[in-house]
Amino acid sequence: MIIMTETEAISLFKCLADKSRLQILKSLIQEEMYVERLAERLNLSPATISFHLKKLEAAGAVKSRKDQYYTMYSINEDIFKLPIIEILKEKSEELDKQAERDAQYRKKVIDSFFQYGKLKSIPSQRKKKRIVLEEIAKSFEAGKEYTEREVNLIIADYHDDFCTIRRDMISEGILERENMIYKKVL
Amino acid sequence: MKTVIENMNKFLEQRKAEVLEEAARLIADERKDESNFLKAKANIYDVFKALLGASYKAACNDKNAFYADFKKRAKTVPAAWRKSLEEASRHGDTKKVLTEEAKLSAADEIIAKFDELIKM
Repeated sequence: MIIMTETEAISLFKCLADKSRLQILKSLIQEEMYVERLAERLNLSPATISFHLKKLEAAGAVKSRKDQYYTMYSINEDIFKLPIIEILKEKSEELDKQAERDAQYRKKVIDSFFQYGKLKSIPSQRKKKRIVLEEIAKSFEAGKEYTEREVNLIIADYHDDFCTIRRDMISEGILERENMIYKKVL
Repeated sequence: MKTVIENMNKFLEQRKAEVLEEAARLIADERKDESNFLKAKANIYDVFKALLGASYKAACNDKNAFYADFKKRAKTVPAAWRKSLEEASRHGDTKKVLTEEAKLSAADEIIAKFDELIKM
């Protein structure tokens, strides 16, 4: 199966978003054609048809072959058989950049809310609060069971309002509580 | 001479409006690329309006000097576009071909209109 990169997908979708090019493809799906025939059929100049065909060919939507004096164009069926969902499933070329931006934002939030290992204030914005709670959660061992007192002591190292933070950690799904025993979820 | 200039300006404005109207119609019909070629054509009417003004200034009210100067400018300026068209055709640059063809079609019709007006 064809694998389409994000850049290729954008190029194809941009190319298809044009009525003349769609008309050309609709003609080519019936049979292969040369420039002059398409021009006559679609009432466009041969130069305009050539321009559109060049774009379609660059986007991988059409193929061409030499046939004596003519260049015959045909639809690249493989491209159109590719389900759009498969294109969406392709790893984004932006993914690494997004992760980098997320990490930078995270650092900025941590730097502004923590000072010398203490939480200065509990953020009101949910996204920032989540980052702060995740940072505190680093002090909990994965899989280890904690009593409420132990949890309170760990959180109190960061902020005096350990009750609010403990409850927020439960509601955010960072900690789970069962029979008064706490465990880190993340 | 003033009548020729007035009629030319009227023609240039009218044609520019018509071409832009056609470009808008193409956009509405989801044919943006073709519309862009018409926008390039529409700009040429402004270019020739400026050439007309420059020739009028240079001629200092001399009708024949004005006609000669404008004809000269109307030949010189599109010459670069013709050269660019040839070059683009040689390299199969279809976008450039269509742009230069659009510009030259405007230039040709403007020159024809000017010839028609000075004969009257």
